[in-house]
Amino acid sequence: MNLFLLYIVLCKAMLTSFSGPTSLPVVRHDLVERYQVVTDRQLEAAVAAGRATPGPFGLYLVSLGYFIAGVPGGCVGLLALITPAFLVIPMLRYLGQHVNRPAVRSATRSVTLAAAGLLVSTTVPLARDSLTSTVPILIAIGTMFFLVFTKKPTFLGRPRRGDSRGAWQPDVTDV
Amino acid sequence: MTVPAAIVVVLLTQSYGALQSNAIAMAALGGVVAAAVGMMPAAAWQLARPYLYGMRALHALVIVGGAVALSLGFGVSPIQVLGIAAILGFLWRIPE
Repeated sequence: MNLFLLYIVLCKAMLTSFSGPTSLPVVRHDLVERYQVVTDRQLEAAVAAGRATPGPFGLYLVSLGYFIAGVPGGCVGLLALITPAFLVIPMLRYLGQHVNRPAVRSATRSVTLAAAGLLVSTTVPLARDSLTSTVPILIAIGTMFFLVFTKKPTFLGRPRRGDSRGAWQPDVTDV
Repeated sequence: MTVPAAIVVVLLTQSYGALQSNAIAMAALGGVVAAAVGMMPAAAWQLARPYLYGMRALHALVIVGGAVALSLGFGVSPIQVLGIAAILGFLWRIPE
């Protein structure tokens, strides 16, 4: 896969995600199923590497890029990660006046909910690939309940702004 | 913040390749990967949770369930699912 195509694929995933991990279904569909340049195991390792460092969730794109094309691929992943931040400025300039329309707000919410559903459906093949014995299953279930019922970070998180108790939460709303 | 973190991610990814022949390291990595898998439904829950109360709950259940069904059951691509969700949300207003 050439670097430009990799950039386009990763950018598409980032531009269609409204919060951190929601780019994952698009990335998996394109890179694992369509182009078959990474395996589910590599995608899982990339997600793990991305979460094991401070910063936005989308950092897993850097790891994926590295798996596909080495250091240049990692740079492409980083470029795709930061591109939406630059695009949002002209978008806000021209589209910002429509953002508060009820229909647009409803559409945005609907996309967020669909992204949650896509995350669930992406989990199924990844779980099938990696949760092959009792211990990994217990770890996955434990992690899920830990994150759902506590406000602890996944590893190196940061306190959510405005949280007066200083509690830590996973950065699911990042990039 | 992003660039130093990206460098750390690349180093971690490099070590993944280097450690593939080490059984203990791979076992530990298997645990990390399992935890990463567990994070995904938790993230989905955190995205959907604000919409699971009151009048929004029906919208949330239909849209989340529909996305899962379209993606897993019918193999519809994520972009198409998101597009359908945007149109549905535009036409079928989710209460404030």
